[in-house]
Amino acid sequence: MRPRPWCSRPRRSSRPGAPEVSATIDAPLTLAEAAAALRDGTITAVDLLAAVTARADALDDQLGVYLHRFGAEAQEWAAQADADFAAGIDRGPLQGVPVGVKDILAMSDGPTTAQSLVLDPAWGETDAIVVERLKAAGAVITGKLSTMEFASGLPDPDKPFPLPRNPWDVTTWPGGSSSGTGAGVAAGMFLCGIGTDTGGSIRIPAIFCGVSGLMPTYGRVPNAGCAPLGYSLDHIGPLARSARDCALMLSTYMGADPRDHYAVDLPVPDLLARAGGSLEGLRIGVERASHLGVVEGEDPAVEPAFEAAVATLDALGATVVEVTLPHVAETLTAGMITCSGESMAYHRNDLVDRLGDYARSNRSMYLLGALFSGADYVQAQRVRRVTQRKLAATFADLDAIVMPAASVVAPGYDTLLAGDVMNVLGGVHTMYWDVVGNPALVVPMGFNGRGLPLSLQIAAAPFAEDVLVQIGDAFQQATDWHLRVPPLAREVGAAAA
Amino acid sequence: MSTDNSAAIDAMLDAAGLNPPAEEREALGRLYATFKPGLDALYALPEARYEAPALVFQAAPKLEAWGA
Repeated sequence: MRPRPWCSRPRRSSRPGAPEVSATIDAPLTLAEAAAALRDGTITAVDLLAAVTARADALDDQLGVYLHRFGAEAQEWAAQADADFAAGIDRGPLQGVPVGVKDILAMSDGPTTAQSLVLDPAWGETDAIVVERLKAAGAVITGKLSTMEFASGLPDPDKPFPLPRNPWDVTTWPGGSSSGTGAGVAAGMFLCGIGTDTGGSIRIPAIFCGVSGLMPTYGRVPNAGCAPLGYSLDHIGPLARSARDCALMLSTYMGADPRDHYAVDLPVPDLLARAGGSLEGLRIGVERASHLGVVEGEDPAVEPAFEAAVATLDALGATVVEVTLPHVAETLTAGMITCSGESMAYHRNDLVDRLGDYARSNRSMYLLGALFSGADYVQAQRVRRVTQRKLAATFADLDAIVMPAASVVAPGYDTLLAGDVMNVLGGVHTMYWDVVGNPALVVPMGFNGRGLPLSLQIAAAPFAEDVLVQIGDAFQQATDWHLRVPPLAREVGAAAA
Repeated sequence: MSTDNSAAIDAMLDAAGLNPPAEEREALGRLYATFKPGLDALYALPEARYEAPALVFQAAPKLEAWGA
């Protein structure tokens, strides 16, 4: 076998107070590295699967990433990928790459639970459109990943599902609802994974686990085969180490499908076309007014990390200007009314018959939907249009807007389970972008004093994911926060190398 | 939460056939009370006065169904 470049590659030195970058790891860290290694023969898909499987064997009891693992199936998919490479068949960047799938996407190879006691197992016997596309791209799907019940609420220790843990500190929550995806990518249990985002569920675990997460524009990806939370708010998107990896993954499954009612039939762009390291010519708005100093208990590391990130964007050539988001409070209220109403419609019959089978934290959100009127729902949709219109005017003069993704770091389980979902998520700045439908990317921007990750959020105009990737990729060429490996995963990797 | 709100909430839950325990009803009442000013603010937004909602009804829907 040829030299393994991911083992010998020199890493940038650590910054004071930050966790060290892995010096020795047993497999490529990023999807981009893995795709290159699979093609130049320095690793096989079977060996790559073995490496991530060893990590999962060592860590999953602690982290609760998987609800179901595909053992023999994944071996077959990996062997098929190697056979295809040998035959000169290349299905794209996911071929032979270990991928995790959140367990609210239906998959014919195993159970789909939505981490719920209520979902009828017969619903999930056909592959979701996104899963179909992952398989067609040659991905090695390693398993179905933990979430929260129907992708909302909080973890519920009274239900028969694992409590997902954050690999940076297992006493803390990895975020949700794509909890297993975020924790699994951070721990190297797969190289990228599928999440969904209705109020932040791709980006919150990406923030708390120190990885990258991209919520595409609403309608960019077909939702059919994904258990709904809020029909007009749900987005399927990637979590991975880097913005570049997110782009590679999203490229394999975006685009309309005749079986989906919401995906928009637009040409599928090259998401990496603008990536190159420079931000010359871009105008980036910086939003401080609604994101800094607005939350009680803001972590003191957030502001300096954010200002350093803005300085990096400036140094990369962007023109940075101050901006204020329109109608933040009204938009968040409109989003909550929309989500509770849409989820109540889906769940009402089961709530009547099986209320006790639902997680307590979810019941209050669903039941709230019974208290709003039809007129309230329509008014919320009118306010969404108002905000969209104002944002469109804002983006006419800007390529992107950046802000701290959260004012807080991953909460400990002790405080998480003692609080309610509204309080816990009050320090996270994600839902605004679900409500208006614009794409948003989060990328790591540092750590707090306890070694927990902090993130930068970048938002762009609808269908401008390529701009997000350009900015995220340039930022990650200039920094190494996204390459940091949690200590417990580093120990497993070093032992296996 | 006022008595009037409690009665209204109970009536709406009952109309929907929903029967959460008393403590959850009370918590729901408190939650609704925190949302009510924000809900009223949506109707007070001047820009929304003549705005069309973000709803699109398709007269010619896509007829293929996932999983059918």
